[in-house]
Amino acid sequence: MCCSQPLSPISSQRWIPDQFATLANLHTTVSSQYVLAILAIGVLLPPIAGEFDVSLAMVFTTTMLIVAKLVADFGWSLPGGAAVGLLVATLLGCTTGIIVTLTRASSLIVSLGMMILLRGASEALTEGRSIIVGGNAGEVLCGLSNDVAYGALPFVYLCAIALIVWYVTEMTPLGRKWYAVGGSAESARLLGLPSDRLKIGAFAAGGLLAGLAALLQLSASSAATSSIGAGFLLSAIASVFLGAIAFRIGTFNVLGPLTAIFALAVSITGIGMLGAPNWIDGVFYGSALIVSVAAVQYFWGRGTT
Amino acid sequence: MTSQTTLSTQLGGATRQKKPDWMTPAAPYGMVFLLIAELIFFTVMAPETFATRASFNVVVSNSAILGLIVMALLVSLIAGEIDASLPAVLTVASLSAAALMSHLGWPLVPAVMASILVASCIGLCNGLLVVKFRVPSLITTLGTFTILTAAITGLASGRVIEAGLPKETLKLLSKPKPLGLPLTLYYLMIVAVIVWYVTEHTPLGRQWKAIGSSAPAARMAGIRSDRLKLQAFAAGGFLAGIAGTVQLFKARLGSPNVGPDLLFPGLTTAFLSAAAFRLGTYNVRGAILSIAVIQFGITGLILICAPYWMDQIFTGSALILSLAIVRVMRRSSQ
Amino acid sequence: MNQNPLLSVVDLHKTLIGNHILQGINLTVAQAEIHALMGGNGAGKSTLIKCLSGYWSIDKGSIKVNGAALQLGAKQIAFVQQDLGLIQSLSVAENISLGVGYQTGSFGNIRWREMNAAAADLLAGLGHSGIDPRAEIGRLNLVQRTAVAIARATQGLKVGAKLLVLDEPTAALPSTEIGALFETLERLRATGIGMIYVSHHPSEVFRLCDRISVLREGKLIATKNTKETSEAQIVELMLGRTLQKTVKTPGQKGQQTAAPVLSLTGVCGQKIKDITLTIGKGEVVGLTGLQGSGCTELAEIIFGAQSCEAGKMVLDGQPVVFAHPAEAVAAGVGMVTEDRHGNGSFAEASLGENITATDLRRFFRNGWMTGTAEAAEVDGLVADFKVQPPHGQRRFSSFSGGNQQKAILAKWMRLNPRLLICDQPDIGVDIGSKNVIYAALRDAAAKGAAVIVISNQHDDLEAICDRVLVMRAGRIVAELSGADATEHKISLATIGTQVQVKELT
Repeated sequence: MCCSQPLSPISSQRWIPDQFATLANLHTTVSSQYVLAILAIGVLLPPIAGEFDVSLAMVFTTTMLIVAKLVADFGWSLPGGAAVGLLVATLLGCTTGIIVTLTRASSLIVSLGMMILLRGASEALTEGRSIIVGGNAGEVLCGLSNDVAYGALPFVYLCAIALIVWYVTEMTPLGRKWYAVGGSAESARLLGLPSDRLKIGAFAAGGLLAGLAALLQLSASSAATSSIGAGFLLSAIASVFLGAIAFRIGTFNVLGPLTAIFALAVSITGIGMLGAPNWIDGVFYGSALIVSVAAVQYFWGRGTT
Repeated sequence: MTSQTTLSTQLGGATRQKKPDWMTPAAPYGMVFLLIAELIFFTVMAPETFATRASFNVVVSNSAILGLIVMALLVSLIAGEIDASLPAVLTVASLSAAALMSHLGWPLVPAVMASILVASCIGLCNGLLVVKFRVPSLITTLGTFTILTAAITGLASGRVIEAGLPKETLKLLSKPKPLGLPLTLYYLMIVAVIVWYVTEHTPLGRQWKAIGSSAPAARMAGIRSDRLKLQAFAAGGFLAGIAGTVQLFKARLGSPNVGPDLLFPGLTTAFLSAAAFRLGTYNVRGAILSIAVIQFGITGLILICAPYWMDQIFTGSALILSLAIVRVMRRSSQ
Repeated sequence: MNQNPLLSVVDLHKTLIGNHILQGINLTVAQAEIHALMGGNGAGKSTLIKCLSGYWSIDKGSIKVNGAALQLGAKQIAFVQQDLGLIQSLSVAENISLGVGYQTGSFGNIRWREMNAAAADLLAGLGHSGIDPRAEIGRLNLVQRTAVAIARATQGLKVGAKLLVLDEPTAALPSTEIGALFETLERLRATGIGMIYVSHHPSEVFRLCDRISVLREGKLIATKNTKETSEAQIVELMLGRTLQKTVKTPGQKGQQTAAPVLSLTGVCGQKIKDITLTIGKGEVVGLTGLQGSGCTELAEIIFGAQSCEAGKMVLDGQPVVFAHPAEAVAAGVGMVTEDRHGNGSFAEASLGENITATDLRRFFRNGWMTGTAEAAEVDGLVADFKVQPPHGQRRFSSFSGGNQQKAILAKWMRLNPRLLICDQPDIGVDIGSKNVIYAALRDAAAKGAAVIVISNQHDDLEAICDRVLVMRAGRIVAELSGADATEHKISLATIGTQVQVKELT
């Protein structure tokens, strides 16, 4: 269950002290975080349009399982499986969005419901096993992320995705309309903007990014289990908040979560170097979140809240 | 929106899209009908096993700890904040009481009181962060949740605390079954009645509800939101401490594994409570009913041999469905 | 005139949540006409406007703009929405562009530089060259925000709309700014633009509009030429009965008793400086000033909602410092806030819960909240204040603005306050409710309370106040009492030196 190991993506890596400052080490830190970073960018999109989607970590898991199952158990081609996976991820995000706009209920609660539902679904898909993508497809998958130019490929993917999302949110009318709906859905609707459709779009885009993150995770590990995404949930949400508050007080943008994820990853690596026990990560992570948010609110937040 | 409803009375209800008349008064009791339907369904599907004392006991024993943590969550939700760290606080309380007895040889009563005090203080700390530093409560408490679960994992290293506990006393506090119901259920009932009384029948509860519905308006009505929020967080911690104590009585050992797993079921049940009796408001009676609906549902699913993952699908769908029901009912009862 | 109407609404029906809100509206607006739309709260104005904007679909009837059916997203009509409809977190230029769409480059990217420049030009054309197009709306004051909303609408006109709908655009404007707005509108009229102008104020409507349509209970009661009607007739049509102006009876004026309830000496806050004033028992004191003059700040300092940085405050002979509104309420001070939706009410709670929120302990007997005592008190107040419909258990947000305000006033009056502060009690309130509210304030004063009324409606201040204090830039600059407290003199004092400079040059 995710709660007992909320920080697995960060704590899974260990280094010895003299390696800390090397370039290779930095690269390892980066590549261990890229899936989380892409997922966090996905988690960021619904809040821009004023809603939350906590189910994305489970969308991530479900997508990974579906792709793995299609390729490994049903013998689909990799591109076919990936396309279906991305489609399912987008549709799942879309569904959450549609329920939120139809029921006018808190998106936090709706997506919590979706998350629990998808946990059941992913258990149903695996029935406790892990699905291993082997053979030819497995090699192709590995090739997508591993060891060309020191494994720089995932980094390139992340940069490309971050750049595209930054461009869409900051430089195109669609992104600005998401911000408008997030600022005031009522005013946006009076202006003739289709608030509901924009929100559903943001949910769908979040789902798509969770799907992309799932593909990259699959290519890195070649195996899928139902427990893999759970650990990402709190980290991804925390990064979004931390980034939102550290970067532009009160608004959500792409740079924030990225910076937050890597700053935390580097610090936690450093703490690991000092020989602290594993569980210190969690304490550090939680404290960093609270202290940074409290500090920003205390020194700069007066009057803006 | 304001103009529409004012007119409704002046025009005496020119009807076109109006819902059937029975729906409006029945709306708050929708979940009661759901529970009855569910009971009938499972009784028909699994007549040999579902309508038995044994399955009832399973439901009851699963409900007690969950119910107690839901009561704790409700208080903060009513006051307009969310304290996601409470399930971890439960574990802290139950472990610390066990550790005090086991390692330091404290007697039961002081150990339990100290652990409840610790739990209240953690709640209060969350409250201070929210009130003094204006950190959104979801972030703060996710942070404390992470810290607490990590600390529990690290300090307890996954081991249970069993040695040196007063087994006989603990047995006495959990084993007896007055009227054939487990004692833990009575603890839940007592706590639920107290929380119900405080939230609905005292000025304190009404003021919590007021700050929950609009903190700025409460302030300008002369209600001290900050102080009340602190009280709500402390009360939440206190109740989580009690839940931890009951967990200790029930398991007769301090376990690091129980609390955190209750986060999502607890939140789900607390959110569901707004779909019964007082639509759109988190309330105790609704919470008790939600626990019954979900626990009977899960037990029933097991008994009709549904696959084990069905319970999560059931819980998730129940939450989403209830939101849709609230939406439809609110439309018709405006 | 009706040969080729710019807008024609024929037999429009709209039902919402089972309520027949609009019942066969027929309305035409000609080119170069400013057409006023008046009606009490709940008459259906907002719903009609929302049908025009495409926010609501219509059940029956037709809306034609320039002969063509109304289409969603076709930008046939430009709007200044009620409460302006701006998005606080976005910049000025973005808010303007949201209306007509962003200018984009070849990669679908927004051309920020051109967009900001266009916005700056537009604002300069409206006489607001001081507004930075990159500034966030949240950082502007209400006058500037109104300018942005109007700029957005005029840009809509530039890209082809021929009809402009303004829904209470003057709600946030002091009287000095209204003149500038009207000049802009008259210039637009000269270019052939037709307009619908929604307002609660007959004086504005008669100054600006060509024709007036009156809505009541979802029906269009009458359309009159402004020149052929009178304010009294319009108000009668709106209310459906003859207006009884509730003003204080002569002789009450200046009835200040010796005992002062509140006296301030040298009070300073963030935006106010060195305020000294005394308010006596049974006195109604008006407080007015331009936007940013500090009236609301002063009221909030007295109420303990903002901190008092220097000076002395004495309430009923006792020196007091309120650190929190709770202390002020305990000392017998009440405040009706300016922002009814923001900090004045619990929208989702019932009307009764709103009324009793200030003091719940009196219903707490033998360790139990007694629902019957609470309901009885609410019912009594609902009847006293003529709240319509008289159902205390209904959700607060389902009541019209006027009835909400009556309930808020009831919430304070039931505590019998020594001092009652009312910040803009007339905003978004229909004339009938306004009369009830003002009568209640006079009544409170007659029972011995001291009352402070903050308002920009100088005619109302003249009617109900014993004394009017005028604030400018955080200071009290004039005190008008007795026969001096006339609408004209109050307005002059509000504007202050600006007018004298104009007269000299």
